Amino acid sequence: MLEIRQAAAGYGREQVLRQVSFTAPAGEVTTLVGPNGCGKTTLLRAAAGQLPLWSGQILLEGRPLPDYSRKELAQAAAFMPQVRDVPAITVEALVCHGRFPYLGFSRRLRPEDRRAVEGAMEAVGVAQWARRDLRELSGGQRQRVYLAMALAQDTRLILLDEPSTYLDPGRQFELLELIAGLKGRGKTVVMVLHDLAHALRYSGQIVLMDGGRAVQCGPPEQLLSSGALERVFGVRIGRAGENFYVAPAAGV
Amino acid sequence: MPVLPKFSILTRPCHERRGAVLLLLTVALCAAALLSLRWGSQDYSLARLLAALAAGDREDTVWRILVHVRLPRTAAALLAGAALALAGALIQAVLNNAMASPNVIGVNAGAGFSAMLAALLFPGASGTAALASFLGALLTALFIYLLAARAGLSRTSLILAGLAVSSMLTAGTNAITLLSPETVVGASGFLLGGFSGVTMGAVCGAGGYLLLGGALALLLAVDLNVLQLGEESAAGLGLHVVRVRFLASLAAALLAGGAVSFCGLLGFVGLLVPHAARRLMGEDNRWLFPAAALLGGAFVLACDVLARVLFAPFEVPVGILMSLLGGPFFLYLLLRGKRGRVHA
Repeated sequence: MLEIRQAAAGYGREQVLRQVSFTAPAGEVTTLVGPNGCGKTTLLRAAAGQLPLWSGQILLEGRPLPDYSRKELAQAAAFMPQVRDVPAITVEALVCHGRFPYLGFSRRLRPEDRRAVEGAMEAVGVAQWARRDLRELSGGQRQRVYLAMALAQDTRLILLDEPSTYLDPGRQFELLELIAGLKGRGKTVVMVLHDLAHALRYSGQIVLMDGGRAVQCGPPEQLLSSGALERVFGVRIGRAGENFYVAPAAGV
Repeated sequence: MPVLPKFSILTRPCHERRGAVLLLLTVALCAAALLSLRWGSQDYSLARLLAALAAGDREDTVWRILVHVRLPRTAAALLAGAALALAGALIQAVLNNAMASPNVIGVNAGAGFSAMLAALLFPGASGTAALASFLGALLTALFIYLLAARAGLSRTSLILAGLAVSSMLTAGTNAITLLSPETVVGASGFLLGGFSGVTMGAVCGAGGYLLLGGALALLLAVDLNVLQLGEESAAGLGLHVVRVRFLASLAAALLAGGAVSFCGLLGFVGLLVPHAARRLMGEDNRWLFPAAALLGGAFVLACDVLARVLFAPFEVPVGILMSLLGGPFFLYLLLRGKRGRVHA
């Protein structure tokens, strides 16, 4: 689905990504984890076609990213960046923007666009706020609205940069459940998470990054048993049933 | 508890009352235009004006005043107001900066300097005023935009940079006026901004630019809505961010340049009116742009009528009146502590 091959990239002269390679399988949730500054967000931006690679390749459905036109790319991958201004806009109008890649020159929504917008709002449970101003909503509600916009974009790949940051624990779980549920709609999700426990619980595959490299990549069990997660983060990870918890490493 | 009447325009949510507001603004614009036609040093009733127009007697004083003075002046005030307000709304959207407007960031001054320079270098050539002021406006707008993008200026620094650019360009205009007083396109009036002595020819010469700029603005309305989501989100939706910003700056330059070529350096319309229109209409540019244009036209017409009758028989240049209104509003925006975002 999304294949990263030997990707190197950075800002100005500073290299951030160093020969990163992994594949995000279709219909799975792949989570990028790693210490601050390890290049997770940079990798996500590169995968969204917003940062040109210095070398290497990114293939989306087997096709290199630079071969996509802006419109085609926006119809194939939705990108939810982390830092956003909160615009003064109604929920419905925001979700309608998700249809932008499909609009013609007149920029008018067709009936099928309306249906896609309604379907997306129903799917993440924001339809009841359709006429509300985005600024009136709480952080968790807003993230769900942005997720609805990404769904309205009707792409097979969804890229999310720290979707649950700044939310209270209950809202974090709500949002992650929604995201995990996207699998059932045939979506491939690649996201950045800070919380290891969440990453372990909700991912089909984890990519552990450190110093601009993908150190290890595999199912959560494998990363846990190899001890790589504990080593890179300098923590101890415990398990209670389906859930995980993170504790300080011995001697800290 | 008393229930507010459902039909009241102000109690309805924004998106439901937009059609009604647009209609009201159109009515206000027409009313202001009619006032502008009949009021001045001489007050004529509309019936008298119509009769003179119907008779078409070129020796009739009323006919001459109407055709050579009032009509050009009314058309100029309406178009300049609409164009500058729309240019302001565009520039605020491109820069996401509530304090930006064509006169604050120096676009008007660039247009004025360029028009003045053209009048000095190619005196009497027809069509130069509008073309030169468009080019001046475009260069200044692009310069300011590059400054914001490359140097990563904060919103307030950008405004300061704009003010510096603006005062340099105004100094250039002043120098031309002083060194070569005979070139001038109605010099003192040009610097202050006003409509006395404006001719239909000058307005028509700029008409093409205004039309093109207005059409471009309407075409870009949805794209600029998407840009409000932030650069990364907009790019993720397939928007060509750089191109949209350039085209919107081009539209603003067409509008501001066209207007400046016949009305001079009219200040603060482009700042005041988009904010007022946003209050009435909300943020959706598809509605905001027409509303800003209508309101701008009505506002400048009303100010021009006031300028004519306030101290009659003397006339205040309308630019002075607008700076008196606009200056305090600018200070208010600066001090409001929203850090100058349009969409906070």
